[in-house]
Amino acid sequence: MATSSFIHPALGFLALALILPFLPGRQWKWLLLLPPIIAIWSIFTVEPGVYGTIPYLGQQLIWGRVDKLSIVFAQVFAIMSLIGMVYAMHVEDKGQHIAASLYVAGGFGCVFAGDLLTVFLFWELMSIGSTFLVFLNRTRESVLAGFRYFLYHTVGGLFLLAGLLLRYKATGSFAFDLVAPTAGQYYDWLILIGFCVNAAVVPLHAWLPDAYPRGTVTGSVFMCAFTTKTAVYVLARGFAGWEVLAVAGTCMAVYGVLYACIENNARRILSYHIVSQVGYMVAGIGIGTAMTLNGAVAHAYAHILYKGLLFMGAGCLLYSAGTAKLDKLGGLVARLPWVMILYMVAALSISGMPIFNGFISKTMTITGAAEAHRTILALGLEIAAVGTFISVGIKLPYFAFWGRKPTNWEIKLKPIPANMYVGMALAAGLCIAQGLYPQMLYHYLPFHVEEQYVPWTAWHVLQALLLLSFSGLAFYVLREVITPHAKLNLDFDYFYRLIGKGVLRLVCKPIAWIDDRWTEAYRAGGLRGLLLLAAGTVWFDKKGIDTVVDGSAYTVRNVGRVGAKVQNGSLQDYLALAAVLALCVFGLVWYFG
Amino acid sequence: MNGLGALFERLKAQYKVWRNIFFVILAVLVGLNFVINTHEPHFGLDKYPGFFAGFGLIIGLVMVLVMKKIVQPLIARKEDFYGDI
Repeated sequence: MATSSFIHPALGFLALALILPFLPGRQWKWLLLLPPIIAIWSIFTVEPGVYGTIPYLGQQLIWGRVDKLSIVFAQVFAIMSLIGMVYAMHVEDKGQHIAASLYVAGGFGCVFAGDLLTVFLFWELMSIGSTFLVFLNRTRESVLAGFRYFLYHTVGGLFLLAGLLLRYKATGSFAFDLVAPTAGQYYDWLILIGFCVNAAVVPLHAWLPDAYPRGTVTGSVFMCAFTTKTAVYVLARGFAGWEVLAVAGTCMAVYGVLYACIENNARRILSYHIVSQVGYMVAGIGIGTAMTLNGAVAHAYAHILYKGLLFMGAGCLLYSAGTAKLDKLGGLVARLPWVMILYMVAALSISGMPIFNGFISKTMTITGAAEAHRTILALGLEIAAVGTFISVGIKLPYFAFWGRKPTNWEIKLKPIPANMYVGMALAAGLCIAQGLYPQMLYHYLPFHVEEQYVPWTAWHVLQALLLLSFSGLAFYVLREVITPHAKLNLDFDYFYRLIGKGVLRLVCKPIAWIDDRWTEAYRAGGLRGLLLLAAGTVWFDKKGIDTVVDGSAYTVRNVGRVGAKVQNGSLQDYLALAAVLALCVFGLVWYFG
Repeated sequence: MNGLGALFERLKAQYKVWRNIFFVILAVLVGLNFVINTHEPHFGLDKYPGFFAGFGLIIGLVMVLVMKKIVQPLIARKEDFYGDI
């Protein structure tokens, strides 16, 4: 039954987004930290249960399903939102903070949603918030990428919507529970596709390396943490044990590292590694034993922390040097030593080096896969581990911080604000603490296992060191070959763009034809009619209506002015307006319905 | 350049020493593998010492060579191929 003892973590972020536009001065930056702190407090004190059931359109929407699985995800979301806000405190553009807040609120909403309709609502809120985090980078490149991102997520969202509506028609409920792998109906598959778009499952992944490198410096830090991991959460909730996910996840893990191997842009390398790392989680969910599910959750937790830190590090490069392209960087260690150190903590974490948190989460998933006798899958995940260390652990830092360029190489560096360092240090501290004390993380894992996984054994440590150090040797041998080049590598988005162009042509041709015919018809008949009508109106007007009409004419003109101002041709503004209108409609229906 | 940056500069200058230390570490790790090995081999070959060393080295070499020398020449285009930069 609903009780009032749970403060939904999304509320603070929504409130922040609402009041931020009206706050003067610059001291509001301290306010950014309040919603994350409330969220952390709320999650560490809440008791499992079902809270906040809201009647809407004759349905019972459940906004607060609090159980072990939702708590562990919400916990890391809350911590990451604090880190992200600290990292973004220096940003003066309120729009970015509002977009980030709405986006984070959407993430929390999905995690605590007890029914598919609520999931969908917050799913779309996330999609809008993150689109603006791309737009607000305010370059032509990022605006275009933002549109592609939004279009793609809208299509993904429509799959989810179609699936949940068809499911409602068939079963009469929006319940969001585990679908048994053998009982999947066509509508479950539609929902699964919707989720897989956000989880960046290959070949639906290309939006991610397209958009994330073009987001704002601080926005990408939020984005890399929430979208894919919310998708991991809903997959773990609804589709655990689906064989297709086990295979798809392993393919993702390998595919991501292969592309990262040849990429040049630091943030795109990291983006491909999101695809790869989320692959571990998706594979763990697909295999579906308690150990691999726990491995997936643990890896999601660790991943959010170290991937956030990686994006913060690459963000520092972009902020300070003005580019994140490796062929333009090099020899920065002397000038940004702390960025290098903090980046390396994350790089060693993602590689699964002992002492760091990737070691305790990644090995759990791989061992789980092997113990479930999924040898091929486990082997694929080991291959991905080698590639991860080569590109994120060595290639990126080598060409950015060490490299061949002379150290007196003149590149103007913008000083990095202290708050960015603080955000990174928080994340780095947690990465190391979890690596050293695995119980910090394992304590919250939701699924019961007979025998708990112990990462710190002599063999696990030696295995990790052997694997990583000899991948390092491979890099040393081929360091000339792997030197990054300023190239664009074709990916599946080539096909997305073909589809886009095809649809455009399909729509344009008939419409252009109709428009042509209409113009002709209008010229022949319409104009004459209009002239006649005008003559009649003049007569009517002259006969004394003038006085009455003048007033309304002014009104019409003024409304027209506002209308013209709104219709400025900038699609970003239309999108924001549509989102606000949708919220208003939603509120009105809820209030009167 | 602050003190820490200067320190890294000095370490960087002695890269030959670091390389030799790295090689020694590699040898020590393989040596340790003869003493410490898994009790539950999952892949068959991993019951032999040195398996994961060879695995890391060979997979790493093959991955980089195949991707950089064969795949990238096929899929690489100019940076503004899509005309959106």
